Amino acid sequence: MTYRDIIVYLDTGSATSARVDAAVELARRFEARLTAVNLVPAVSSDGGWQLCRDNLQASFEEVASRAGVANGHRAVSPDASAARDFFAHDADLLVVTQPDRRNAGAVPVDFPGRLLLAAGVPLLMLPVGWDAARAIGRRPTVAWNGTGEATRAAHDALPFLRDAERTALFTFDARYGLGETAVEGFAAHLHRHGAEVIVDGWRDDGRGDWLSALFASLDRERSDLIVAGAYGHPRIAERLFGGATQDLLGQDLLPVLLSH
Amino acid sequence: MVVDLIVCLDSTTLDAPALLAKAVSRAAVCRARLCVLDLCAPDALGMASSPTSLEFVEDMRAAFRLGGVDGHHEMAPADPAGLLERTLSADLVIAGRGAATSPHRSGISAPALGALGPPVLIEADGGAGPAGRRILFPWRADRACTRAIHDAMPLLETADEVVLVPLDDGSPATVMRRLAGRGVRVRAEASVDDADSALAPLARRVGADLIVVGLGGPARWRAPAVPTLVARLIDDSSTALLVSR
Repeated sequence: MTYRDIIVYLDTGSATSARVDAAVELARRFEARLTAVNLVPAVSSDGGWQLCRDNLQASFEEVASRAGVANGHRAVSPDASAARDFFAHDADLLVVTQPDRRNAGAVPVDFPGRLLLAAGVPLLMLPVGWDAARAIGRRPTVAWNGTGEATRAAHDALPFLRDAERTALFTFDARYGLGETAVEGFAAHLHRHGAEVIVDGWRDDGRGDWLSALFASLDRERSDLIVAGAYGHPRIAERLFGGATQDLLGQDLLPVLLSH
Repeated sequence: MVVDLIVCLDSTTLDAPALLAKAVSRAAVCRARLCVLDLCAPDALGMASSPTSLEFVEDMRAAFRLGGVDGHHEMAPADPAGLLERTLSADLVIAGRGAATSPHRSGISAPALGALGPPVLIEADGGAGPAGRRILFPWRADRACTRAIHDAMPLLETADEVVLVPLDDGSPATVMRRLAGRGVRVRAEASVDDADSALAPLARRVGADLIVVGLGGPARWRAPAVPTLVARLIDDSSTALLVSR
């Protein structure tokens, strides 16, 4: 499986240029068609949105064409609300940037989360201030907790994993190191899919938290991409009590590929 | 791409050999590794409760050799959580309808479908070979169907025909273009109003041997809520079912 269709969302925020550059590079790497979905009509409240939309489209097409990437452009309607209105079901990968509340003209802060819940397509979220010259996915870390969501995320990330120098399979488990656990079997499965995988297991002994362990792992492995399943628990529970997905959506160090 | 298949069966049941044959055939086509997870209940000594299972293991090994399949046999974990965890290292889980109603173990029961990571292929009773020559795909632009397309793609690409059935007023043109672009031989049927009751008869009318459906919702908190449609299709044994979550 590979990414044949990638969608990148355009808005008038300052992160759009870097996001387009990153998406163009991914489309070039995976030989995918890149479609820009222009959010301006749906988020712009002034009458000059047509000019904004046209400028964004022209800029995107120039960058994509210069890179030799097959590309297209679609604009959402002003009353777009559901995932299908944002053409989210028409791709293998969606590229967005982490919401930045300080960024005027950008999309609502809950847009990536809503898209993630409703699209059925993996979502690559770039951190605010991402430098498009940095590589994505050469040394990914898959955060795996033995759930269906995490398993699906790893499968969705296979085009990255097969292309990577090395993939770290991170697990934070009270049973780790006490006998054979499922993570070794899953690592072998990913290896059969063509990924070079090492298991980076941490035993949960009650003295640390998974997020601290994950970031220690990312640092040790010099990772450039986090892969994780999202919203394994009800979203309202995450909002009330915090959760892994919210933690990952809030971190601003690395791109994260999320699947739900 | 399918590299790891798991077939869940109870080796003491009459339909086990037929299900095994379908799984071996599918593994041979995909050049995938096949794990036979045996759901049969061990007796107090830890052995299989019936000599049939020992004969089954010998027949299984012969089938692997004949099919050129890299396969092995395992006793399935006794607890449902362990069973679900074991299936995570697979691209596709195959089960028969017998496993769904096994008197010995719950196996891949309808409620468990919602908790799995990989898609589950529930083979039809009878039939000569593995399902997937003509595939019926109920479609609407939502998360469940989008995931189902991704999960079913290895089967869609090798099918003789894929029949897309719109479930709402939306146009299937975009999804049909995407499928056609990947070499899938796809055509659209007229939309149906009541999918719960119309899909099984429609599958028989168009000669489909496999229906693809998607479940919605995250695993843990909605696992028991399998839609009526899926439960009804599981009960209808004449057509195989690929369930994606």
